Amino acid sequence: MNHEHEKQLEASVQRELQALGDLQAPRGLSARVMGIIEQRAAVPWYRRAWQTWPMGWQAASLTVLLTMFGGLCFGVLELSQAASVSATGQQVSGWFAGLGVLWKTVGVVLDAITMAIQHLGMGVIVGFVLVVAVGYAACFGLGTAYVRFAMARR
Amino acid sequence: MTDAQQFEAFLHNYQNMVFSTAMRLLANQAEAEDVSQEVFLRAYERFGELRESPTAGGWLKTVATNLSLNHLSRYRSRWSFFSDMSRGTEEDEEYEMEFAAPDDTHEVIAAADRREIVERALQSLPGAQRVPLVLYHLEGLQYDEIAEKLGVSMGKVKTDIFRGREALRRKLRLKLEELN
Repeated sequence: MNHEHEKQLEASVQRELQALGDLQAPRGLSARVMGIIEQRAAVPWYRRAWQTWPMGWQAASLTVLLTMFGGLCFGVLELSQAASVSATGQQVSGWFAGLGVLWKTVGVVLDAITMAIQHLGMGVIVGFVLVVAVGYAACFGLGTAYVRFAMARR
Repeated sequence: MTDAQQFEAFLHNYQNMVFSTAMRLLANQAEAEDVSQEVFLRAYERFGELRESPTAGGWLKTVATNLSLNHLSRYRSRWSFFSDMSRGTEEDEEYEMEFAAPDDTHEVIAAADRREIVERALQSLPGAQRVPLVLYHLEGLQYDEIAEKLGVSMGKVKTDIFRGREALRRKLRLKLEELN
């Protein structure tokens, strides 16, 4: 391949393609788009995407969701700070007698975790969390690299 | 003027540009129309911002390009799409350097006819050559940007664009000679 030839060819193609104007869009395109927009406008607001809801409803739904999330976080925090997880577990297992065994197992595990947290110290816990996070990131990164490599090979 | 009327006017202003972008990348009228429709439906959702924006045209062009490329990779086999380069004796042949038709041909063929010939020649190129060629010469993207968008190496982009230019030159020369 001759470099000069490539340059000339590039310039020629550039000239030819730049001289092309816009193509004529099909006549029905505009009517099709406007028809779909009208159809969508006829759908009640609560059946549309959340982003298109009226501002008041967006705010209200967001508040409800945040309240539920906050309540859940608060509940979990309260549970973790209870004097004894087993004691709470007994109360709960009374409500759900059938799930008693399962709850006891969960209670024992949670007690063990609580005890570990109390005895291991913050440094060990942070280190453990970091190791888990790094391991997870490594798995994720290797997986991504593998998928990209496999796709590139195709 | 209601919002719908304003949007309809906006649509009329830009529909040819959006359709051209999609059509040149997809080389299929029905698919280009579907992509154009999707572009304008997305534009309607952001019409509040786009209505007065001086960059609305650029936004529409970018969305049309991205949706067309998504369409190509989703609905056609990617492997065959990027591997259907024509090989063979063509690469070894010597061609004259001149691409454009001789000056007298320019005089004979009306500009509109010439544009139509170029348009048809462009659309008859295989996707592997047409898409990078359009992105480079009509959308103004650089080789590395095209490689990133298509998920192929920059070397492949350069090769495909070169082959596309050669193929376009040959097709155009043949068609212009037929007219003469």
